[in-house]
Amino acid sequence: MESQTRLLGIGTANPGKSYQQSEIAEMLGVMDTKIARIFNNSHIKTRNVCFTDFDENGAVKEETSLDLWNKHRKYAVETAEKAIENALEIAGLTVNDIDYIACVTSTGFLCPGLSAHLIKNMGFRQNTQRIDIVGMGCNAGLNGMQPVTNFCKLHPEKFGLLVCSEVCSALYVKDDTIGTAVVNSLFGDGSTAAVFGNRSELKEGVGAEILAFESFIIPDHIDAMRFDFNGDKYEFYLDRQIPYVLGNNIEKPVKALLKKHGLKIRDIDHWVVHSGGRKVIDSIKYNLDISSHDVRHTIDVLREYGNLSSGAFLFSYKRLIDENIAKKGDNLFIITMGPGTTVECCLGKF
Amino acid sequence: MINVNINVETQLLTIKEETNLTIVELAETQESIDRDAFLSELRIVADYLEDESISNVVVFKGLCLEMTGDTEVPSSDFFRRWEKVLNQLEKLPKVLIAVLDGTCENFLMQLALCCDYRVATENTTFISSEIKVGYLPGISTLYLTKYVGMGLARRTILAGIPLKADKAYAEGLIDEMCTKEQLNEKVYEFIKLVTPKSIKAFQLGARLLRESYANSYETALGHYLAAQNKCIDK
Repeated sequence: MESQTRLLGIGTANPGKSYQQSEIAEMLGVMDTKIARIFNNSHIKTRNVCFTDFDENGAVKEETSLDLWNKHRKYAVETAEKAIENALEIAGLTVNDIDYIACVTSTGFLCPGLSAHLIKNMGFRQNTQRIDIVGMGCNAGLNGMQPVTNFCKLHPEKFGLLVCSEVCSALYVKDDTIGTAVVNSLFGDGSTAAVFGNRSELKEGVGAEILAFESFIIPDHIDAMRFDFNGDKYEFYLDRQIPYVLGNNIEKPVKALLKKHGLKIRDIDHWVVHSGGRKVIDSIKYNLDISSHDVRHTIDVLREYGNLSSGAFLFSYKRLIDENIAKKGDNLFIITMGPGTTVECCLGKF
Repeated sequence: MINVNINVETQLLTIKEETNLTIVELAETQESIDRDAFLSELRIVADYLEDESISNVVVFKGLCLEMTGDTEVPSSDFFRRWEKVLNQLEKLPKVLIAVLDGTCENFLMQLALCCDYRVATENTTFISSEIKVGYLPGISTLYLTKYVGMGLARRTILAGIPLKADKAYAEGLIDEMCTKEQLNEKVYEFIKLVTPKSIKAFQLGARLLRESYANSYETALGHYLAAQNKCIDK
């Protein structure tokens, strides 16, 4: 039987502590009722964030740009290590078995990159091939998955590792603007690691064969999601029209990818969608005409962790695999969205 | 009105089509129909309606037949495939109308309930006997509560007590009731009455209605805004 590039195991980890949404608002000193409403109406219940320095009233102290950079460096590496250990254990492999690593992050800039730190700390082989994908945002998990699976297809006996590590709280700024409130109420910290390799059989805990990817960028909305530098720190900006821009465009890449494989939306048995936010998920549901059940893991991950950026879809994918309902032959469709404005799609078959 | 030849042959269901109307009919010669064969053909018809048919209105006729095997519990795979095809039909950008005359039972009742409207004769009765046999009726039967309320739905679904046309009409489950002789004329009148100007608006509105009662105000508002944006997007 021909071997197929499949996901062999996903590991997840979250740094810091899990806080209720209302606790985070309190720690960030939110007093304005409008801003408090943004925190309360986000459909997010809890999030892991790395708050380490508090004043005598329990409020988070103002962090310098150096503090935030150090926070990213510490937690992006530490949390990724935990996720990798978890993923390798599920896949039944060790660091010595990994031939290729793609590391994805947008919450801090490291040089040498995250992959170099992980190789040093965890003892991966010195000839491990690697790539670091930095600054592509929430969609970048699928952008990282492409080279990993391409590598595995080219070298059927080898194994690849995708790591997404985001410390979104290293990008928090404190001010009273609505824009900052939207960002501070949405994003959480978390890392994922996914091992890929060639296995001919679908077994419990193993994911779908990766068939193809489709990319789509909407250049007219290049500024809709972006980092601004305020002279001291990077601030993340989210345009309020993003859910509708994504909704109005989502069908194009989805149908294009399906058409190449002779499939329709009705042929997809399992959906894994990035937990971008309540309005984004609603917009995708109604524009693709898929149900709340189809995006149950996306909604649950958003509720429990907030938007985890590039690795969020792997949290959902892990839940789908743990459900153990996918049958041989079922079709899987993965969608991530992010700055650009970008939609990335992946088609798989269990 | 012309007979449509779809690529795969169907024995139980015929499709006739004119400019803006498709009629899907269970063959009159049948006394009872095989459940598995019916599901297979319904999937073919649903694919045709989604992929090729350009009409905005679909009428299902002949749904008051006995289905063989209704006293046996289907496999879990059958339920999965059945719900999938009903979901596909529900989501079509078309107005679905069930035309009923007689006893509409179990799986055919589910199909009638997944339609947007029902035009029926006074002799029509709905029967859901699945729970008496030992399994659960499909999701569209469970929609019955939204139409007729918990009291009546409880008697129909849990106890299998027939739900007669007059009661169903009074509660809004049947949209147009008439005599057998009037049925054909009433169907065409009803089609004129309910055919929407924008099928996209109809489709999204139908989805929001199906999801009503299920969500908090905040969730429903989010769904509404997402649907409205799709509706007015050029």
